[in-house]
Amino acid sequence: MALTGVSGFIGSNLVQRLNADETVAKIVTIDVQTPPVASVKVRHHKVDLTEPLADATVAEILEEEKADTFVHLAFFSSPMRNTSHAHEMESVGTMYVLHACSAVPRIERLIVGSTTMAYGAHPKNPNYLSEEHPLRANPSYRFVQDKVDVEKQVERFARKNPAKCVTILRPCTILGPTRRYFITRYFGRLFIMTLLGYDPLMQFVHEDDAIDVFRRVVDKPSPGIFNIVGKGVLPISTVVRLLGRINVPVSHLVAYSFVNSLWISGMAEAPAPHLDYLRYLWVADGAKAEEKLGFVPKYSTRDTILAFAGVERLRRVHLVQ
Amino acid sequence: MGTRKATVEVVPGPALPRPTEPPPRPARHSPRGNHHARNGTALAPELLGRRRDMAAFSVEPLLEGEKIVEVIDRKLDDRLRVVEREALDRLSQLEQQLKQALTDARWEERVQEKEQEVRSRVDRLTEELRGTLSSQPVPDKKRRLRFFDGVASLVRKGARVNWWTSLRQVLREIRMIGRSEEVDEFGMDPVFEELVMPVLDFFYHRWWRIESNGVKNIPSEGRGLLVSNHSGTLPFDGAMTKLAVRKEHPAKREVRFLVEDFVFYFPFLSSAIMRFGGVRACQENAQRLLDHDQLVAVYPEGVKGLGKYYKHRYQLARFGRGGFITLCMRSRSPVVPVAVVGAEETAPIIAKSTFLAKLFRVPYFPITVTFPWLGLLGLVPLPTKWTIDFGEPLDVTDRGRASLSDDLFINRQSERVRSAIHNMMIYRLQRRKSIFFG
Repeated sequence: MALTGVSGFIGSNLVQRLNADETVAKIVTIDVQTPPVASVKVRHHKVDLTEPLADATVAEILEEEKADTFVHLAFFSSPMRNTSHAHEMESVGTMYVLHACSAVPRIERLIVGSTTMAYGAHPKNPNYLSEEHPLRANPSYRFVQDKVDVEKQVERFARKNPAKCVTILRPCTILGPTRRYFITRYFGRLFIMTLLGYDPLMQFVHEDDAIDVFRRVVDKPSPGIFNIVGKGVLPISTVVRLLGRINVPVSHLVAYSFVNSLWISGMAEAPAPHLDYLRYLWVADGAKAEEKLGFVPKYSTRDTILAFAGVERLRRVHLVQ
Repeated sequence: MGTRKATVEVVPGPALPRPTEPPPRPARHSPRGNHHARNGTALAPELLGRRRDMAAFSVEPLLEGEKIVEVIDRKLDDRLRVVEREALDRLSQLEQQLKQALTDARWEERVQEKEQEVRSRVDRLTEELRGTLSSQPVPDKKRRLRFFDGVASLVRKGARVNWWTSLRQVLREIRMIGRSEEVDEFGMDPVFEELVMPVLDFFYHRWWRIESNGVKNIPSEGRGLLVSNHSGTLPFDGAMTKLAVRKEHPAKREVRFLVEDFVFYFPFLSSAIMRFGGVRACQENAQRLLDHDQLVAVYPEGVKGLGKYYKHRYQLARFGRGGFITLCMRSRSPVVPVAVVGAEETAPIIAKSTFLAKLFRVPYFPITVTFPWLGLLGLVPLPTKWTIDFGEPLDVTDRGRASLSDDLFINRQSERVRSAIHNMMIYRLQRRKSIFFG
């Protein structure tokens, strides 16, 4: 069992769960940062995926450690200002990882984490995007374009290596008590900017459910692409109200340039193309995951929001970090 | 003398029921008294205790003790007798009342009334308790608030704000006016619907005086596709068909109407239509709705129908590419042809401006008798008289899935539905005398 991106949210939680599991004999972690658990089972290798020849290094490690499953999670969860570094890390890093996986015949399974943001928000989206729907993210949104690129590479890899079981998981927006990234920072503010007159439906999945499904896929080989979503949808205005925040609608005619200037000056969480996700529909259908993986989320979208709101309240009075 | 002293001391004591009672007679030595004295010491330990207390105050307590007990006993006896008499009186009264109540014919009703009253009070109390215990509202309670009900409940709640939890709840209530906490999977919001319903009712009953025929042709259960002609710049016909089926159909069925893509580019309009139950027109959405055994209204004319010139009214445009037929085949649902007469004159389009259409990024920019001359007011549709006819259900799936690849068959079926609607429209138009009065 080999993992990349163990310093990330899903990676670190997955390593902790695998470490607690008796049936897992060895966990190989490949990352620039050390994993959050110290255990005899966990063997850490410090590799920078942006370096040239990282593919050879990873292949050597996989040969040496006799890994059979590779979980690739080395992705950024929030948009980076240094887009070229993010591109090197995600797109090129994935390329190296895929090189290594195809070079090592022992690797039977590859699991890659993506996001439903890759579908792109679009007024012409059907209300429930299925896994077969083309990925039409805004080309100027580098953060999501990198994810789309990763998916395309992985699909090509799956076609070239039909013997290997390749799984892509696309969780929607993950919220929860410990998850901290640009979406939680956006919803954590008192005044939340939305687009005037637009009220798209949003869906959320609880962090426990998201980690649970990764654990499930690691246990049981299940090839294919799966949307990981919570049940139910809510318009963003209702989400803001359930969180107890104040809605600040801004007309889309000025919002894009406004957010862009904020992003350039370092005051916004995401660049302007992210506003599409506050404007149009991008809800995914989780029926396939339920059918094939047996994944039934414990938290609905509304439960997730209320759980997050509760933790935010505690966080405000410094009872939770 | 000693006895007197002792008794006088005893009289205002707390053990005696009434301090105003006359002072007790001096104690007599009688077998009854002795008996009571014995029993008194044995049965009433508090009396004994009091006797000891008194002993501390009286001069010769040991000599007078028995006499005091005797006095108290007698007094208690009297008192007991009085109480007993009163109780017996009460009991007989109650018995009489009960007899009366039993003989009364309406006693059962009254009992039920009382029971209901108590029940509702208990329910209210539990609800309130739950409300104060948790910051979240009770989940399964349907929050059907009209605007003024909402305001009234706010005022009521506002009067009760005295601690943090309820304050938070009031704030939450204010925030959630006109919206529900849970929407269905296509974003339909029951609270919002209730909020706008008076306006739509006005349009239905007063403005267009809608008359519907043959609603019973719609199946009472199971899936079904309503195919209709389309007109009137804004998709009012979808909303009115929905209302007609809800009001007139015996099963009060809900119709989800499909709306053109371009509507979802617009601010306000997109979210309002979504919350009212409109769904973006595409195969996936329609398929999903039909799979859930719902009624779906489709307008295969699409934008071509919506932006029809006045001179082309009641001339059905091309029915798309027969997508609705493949939809029916795949989901095996019947087609109910629907003809809406009257809607095509609500916004008579005399010209279209391509320049303005490009400027506002809309598929067409209508120029009607009133729009854009009167500004947004010009968008108010004319008060024509509407008739909605529902035809006999057509089965377009008779050859099953095998014909899915038979394009000629699909086109023929599409044409069949189109001509059915056309005939219904012509029939109604021939019988119509006036656009505005029917």
